[in-house]
Amino acid sequence: MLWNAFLELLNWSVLIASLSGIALGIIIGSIPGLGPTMAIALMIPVTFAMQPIPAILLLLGIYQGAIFGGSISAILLNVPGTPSSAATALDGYPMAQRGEAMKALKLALYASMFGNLVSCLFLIGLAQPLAQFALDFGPSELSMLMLFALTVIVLFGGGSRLDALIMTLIGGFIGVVGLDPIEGSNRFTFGSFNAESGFQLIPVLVGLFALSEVMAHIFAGPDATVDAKPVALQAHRWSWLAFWRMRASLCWSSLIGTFVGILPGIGSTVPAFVSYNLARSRSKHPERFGEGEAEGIVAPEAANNAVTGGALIPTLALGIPGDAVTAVILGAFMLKGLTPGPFLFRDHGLEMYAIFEALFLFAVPTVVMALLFFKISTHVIRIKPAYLFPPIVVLAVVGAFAVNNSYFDVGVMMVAGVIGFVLRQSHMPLPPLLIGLILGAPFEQSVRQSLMMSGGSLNVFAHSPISQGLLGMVLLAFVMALVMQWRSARKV
Amino acid sequence: MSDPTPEPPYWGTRRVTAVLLLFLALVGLWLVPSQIEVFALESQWPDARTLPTAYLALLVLALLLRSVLELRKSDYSLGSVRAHLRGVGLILSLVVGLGVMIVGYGAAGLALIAVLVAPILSTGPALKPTISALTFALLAYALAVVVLRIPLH
Repeated sequence: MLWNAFLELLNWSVLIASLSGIALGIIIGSIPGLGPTMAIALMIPVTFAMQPIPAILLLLGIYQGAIFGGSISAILLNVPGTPSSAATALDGYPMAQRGEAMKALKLALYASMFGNLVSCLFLIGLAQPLAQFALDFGPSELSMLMLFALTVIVLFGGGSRLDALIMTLIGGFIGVVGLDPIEGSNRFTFGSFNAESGFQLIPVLVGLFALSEVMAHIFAGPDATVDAKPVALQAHRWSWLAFWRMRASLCWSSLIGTFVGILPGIGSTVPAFVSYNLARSRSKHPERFGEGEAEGIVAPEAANNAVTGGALIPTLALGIPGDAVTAVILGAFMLKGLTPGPFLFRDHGLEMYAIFEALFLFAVPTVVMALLFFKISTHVIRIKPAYLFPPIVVLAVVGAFAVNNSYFDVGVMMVAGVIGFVLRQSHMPLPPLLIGLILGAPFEQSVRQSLMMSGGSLNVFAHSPISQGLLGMVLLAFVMALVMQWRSARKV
Repeated sequence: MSDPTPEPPYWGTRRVTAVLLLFLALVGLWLVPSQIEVFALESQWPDARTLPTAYLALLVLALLLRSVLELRKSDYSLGSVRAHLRGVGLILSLVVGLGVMIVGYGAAGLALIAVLVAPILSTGPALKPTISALTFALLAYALAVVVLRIPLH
């Protein structure tokens, strides 16, 4: 299987798609204001005419490339290209100001690749067994699993828990619009035939993450435009020995990133800061952090890149996205007929192993392309919004239309864009809404199936050891949240 | 002498959004019986109305709780009229472009969107960004129709 999967990768279309994805990801990630979620959502229509493997690898290449790319503007401009690179800027920019910008970029690059490789190993090792285990899940176990995922998103997704709950409920409610999956009756369709099939994921995603970003930029006006001058790049002699000395930070950060990535809804910003703080607390010279310390770059970069593999584990094995980006990737998998979940590996094993192997091998082209890109990066990261955002609006319209060749979907995308913009302005988190939207319909279906089978008895949710275990995890999550709340209250 | 920093407003984006969401959730709850038909013969708890009602009821409770918890807090500014007009300009550009596309002129619709949006985003002279956006829109149209076979016309 592994060899056959590898042979699948030796195809021109696969190679071109992978390399294009990585290059595009690095470029997009390095431009402040753009991120992997928006880039992947906009590129999905391009994959319509492609075979599943190159299509998915194009999108995963963008994902990996963009997470690393975010560190480039963080180091050169002190403006993180993606939120997860904010921790990298703390030491990356001071190091660049010292005249060691190239060293900072290389540290970020190699730490990113290390994090990627570690998380890929976990992905390869855990995804298939987890999917195999999930084959035993019935509706009640699935209900408990999704309840656990939603609980984690609300309790540990960062920011206000009440805001996350509100957004999850909004997402869940949007997910029930359309035909009822069991009785077949219309729900909140207001007589529209187009709304009967519910809201398509891609137009909603494009609206929430692409159009709302453009609207937010337009709303902020010209004053918000980043006009900083990037730090100049000077040649640097790289030392693998110095990098090796940071192996403990690299390993811890990669493990933190992978583990947090597996938990739904937390994203890559939290593990980057957690790893940064851990590296500082373990360092013999914590006072150097914030002034251009190498470990202050290596730790967050390894962590935020390790999230990529970790977040794909529940996404592919259980159909539960780890963060907003993997929610978009989940949508792309479904469009290509590869429905994530327990049956994915049974029905599409070859494709899955080809994708895993490619993710592992992505490190080589990413390093080569990033080293080439560094030389022109000072120009790319300063592209003006007037040149950048109109193409995004055009792509958003084309992308929303292309899903079903329907102008209704373009309308949905526009409404989602306005809603996303209003929620952004209110400082409400968008990922819980998205994950609520994705899990809303399957959660309802499995809850209702469970209760129908049990004749309405709630005991069905605790009848099997798996359900009991998952219910225990839900309760544990609440206890942990309370403990964390109590500890932070004591600190104040 | 420079202006003092303005006081953070009481009525800002969070409060207005919360009120709007609360209103919509209450309207949603009111509409549940008319928008979700339940067939009496097949009805069994939970039915098609149960979860949407639960989502909306919980949403109302969560929004009310948040309103109470944030009662004494200041809010984020709603923004200037000019900023709102720029946002409305973007949506109007999309609506006009979409209208032209629906009538059957896909290329013209996309071009119109690009031409109308670029000046809104420009801080200086808008000619170059507009030409660049127009070129991109036409290339995207050609790629979509010819290569990806998306019937945008």
